[in-house]
Amino acid sequence: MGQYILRRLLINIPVLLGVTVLVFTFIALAPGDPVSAYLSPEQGANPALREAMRRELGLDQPLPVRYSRWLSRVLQGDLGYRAVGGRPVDEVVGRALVNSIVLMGTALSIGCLVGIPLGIISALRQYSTLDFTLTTIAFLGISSPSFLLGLGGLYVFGLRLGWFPIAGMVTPGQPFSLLDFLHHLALPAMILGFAYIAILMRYTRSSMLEVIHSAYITTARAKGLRERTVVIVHAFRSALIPVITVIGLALPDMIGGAVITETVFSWPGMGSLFVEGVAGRDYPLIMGVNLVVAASVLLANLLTDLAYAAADPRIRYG
Amino acid sequence: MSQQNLSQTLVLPREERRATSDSPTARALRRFRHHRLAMIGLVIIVVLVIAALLGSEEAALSPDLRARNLPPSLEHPFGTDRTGRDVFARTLVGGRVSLSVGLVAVLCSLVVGTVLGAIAGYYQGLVDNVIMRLVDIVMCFPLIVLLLSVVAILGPGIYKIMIIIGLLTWPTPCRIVRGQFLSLRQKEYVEAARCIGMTDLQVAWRHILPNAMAPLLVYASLGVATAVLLEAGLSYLGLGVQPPTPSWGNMLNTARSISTMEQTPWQWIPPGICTVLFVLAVNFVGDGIRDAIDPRAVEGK
Repeated sequence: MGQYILRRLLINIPVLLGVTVLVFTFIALAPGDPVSAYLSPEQGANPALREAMRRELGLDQPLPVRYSRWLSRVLQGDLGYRAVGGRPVDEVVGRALVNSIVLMGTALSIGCLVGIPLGIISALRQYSTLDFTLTTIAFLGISSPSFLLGLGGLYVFGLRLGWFPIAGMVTPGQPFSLLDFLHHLALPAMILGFAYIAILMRYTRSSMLEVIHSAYITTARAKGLRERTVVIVHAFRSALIPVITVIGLALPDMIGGAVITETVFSWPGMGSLFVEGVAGRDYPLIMGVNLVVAASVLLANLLTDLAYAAADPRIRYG
Repeated sequence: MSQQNLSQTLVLPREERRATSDSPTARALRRFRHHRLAMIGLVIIVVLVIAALLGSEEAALSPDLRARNLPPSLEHPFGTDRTGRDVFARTLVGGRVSLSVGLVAVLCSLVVGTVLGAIAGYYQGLVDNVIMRLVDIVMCFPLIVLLLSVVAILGPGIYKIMIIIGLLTWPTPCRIVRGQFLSLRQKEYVEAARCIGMTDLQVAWRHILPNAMAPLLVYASLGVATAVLLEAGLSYLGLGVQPPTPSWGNMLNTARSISTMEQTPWQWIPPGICTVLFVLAVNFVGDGIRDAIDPRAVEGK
């Protein structure tokens, strides 16, 4: 197991380096001169001053030199400063990251708590009316785009019915209260959670169906185990692999935020921060978000592989 | 597998059991026709496409300042927008724009993905390694994040959006095609084709690529839905198709401000519903195609 973890880590290093090269190249290609951000318009008109600034910032160096300098700073956790407002990118990203994890974590939890049990029930009652209804709902849930559901939900439940606040994480101007926060969290979390419910239900159902008729399940029943033990301990454990896959694929969303849905609900997470950066062409911020998201995708893949190995002893790594 | 389960519950079982001796294509077509949801999806798509083709560009683009923000009426079935343009006409023309973005983007993605996947799978070795590491790197970024980053550099615009979506979604078809090439390049019939002097290109095109048609078809249908959605998301943010050209996405942009969202819902609900309907319909059809061409599918069981 230890050796397996080490090998997976080593495979990921060149990919991660490739990611940094790609992100750096992106930004090096970006139009506009970063020097302008440091000079007032009058100073900017002076070519000598621009040249001095350029030398001071190291922009006169060839690209590979600039890349290696940038990389060594990034490895120390320094993502530079925002082009707009000049605040450190790592600080801004850190705060948005927490907000995104709260929102997406709640959505994924709703998905697991509702989707997995419904998937199990649906598999146990295959071809019943309940199964058909749940399967159809799941199919609709997977196919409907969450940002459009978000717009519809915001309009119906936020504006027409007035059940939920329409924007942000807390009511501005009020002291923080948990109830108020949960009230703001509820609608976006439920809308994002719906997609997870649908996906998890479908995967749980089909992987349960694959094992539910196997001989070992009959054996478990025959030796007099309670139905609950058979289903949860014997069947569900073997059906866990696809469920892990889905959760693993959902982890990067948690870091990157649901870009457009967050914007719909003005949720101050990574998604809205990123959209703000793109609209304002804030390249250091765009670069920072890309790096954090890409690194977290790699990490999530790694965790998923480890979870496979933990869940299924049949998986051999040689 | 899960799709198959779904289809088993939706397809007429008696029809499936009928003994057959016709061609695989005919069988697949028949299976598809009996997939109820897929047929419903197909009807929705046909209706949306015909409606989009009939849209009048003149009505969609001519403002009338005396008729601003009018609610739906007989003259304007979906009302008018903030410069007095007919929302119904804009929804139709917007559909034309959104659907074209989807189609062109998927074509780009298919061409790039197929060529790279074929090269990687056919020649293997170093080229394969380079291409697949590139796939790994591109797949580290969620699509929407990558897309927005490129838009930040190149700027928005309808043609740019088409090409960018196409050029960022190539890893999926690339993997599909590469897989087929890897498994088929050693087969006897491919060796035979090479022995009688066919060039690599002929072998690839005539003998290997047709085997990848089925998964590519499924990819292409679902890919159009993905591309339409990406366009909708981008344009909703104001970073996609730029006004005055209407698209389903940039009509949704009205809903970005809470006050216009509340006061003039007829301006953003129609394109929103069209987008959802189209995406659902495409998913139904994709599901139907997948079941219809899957050789392990339910037929004869």
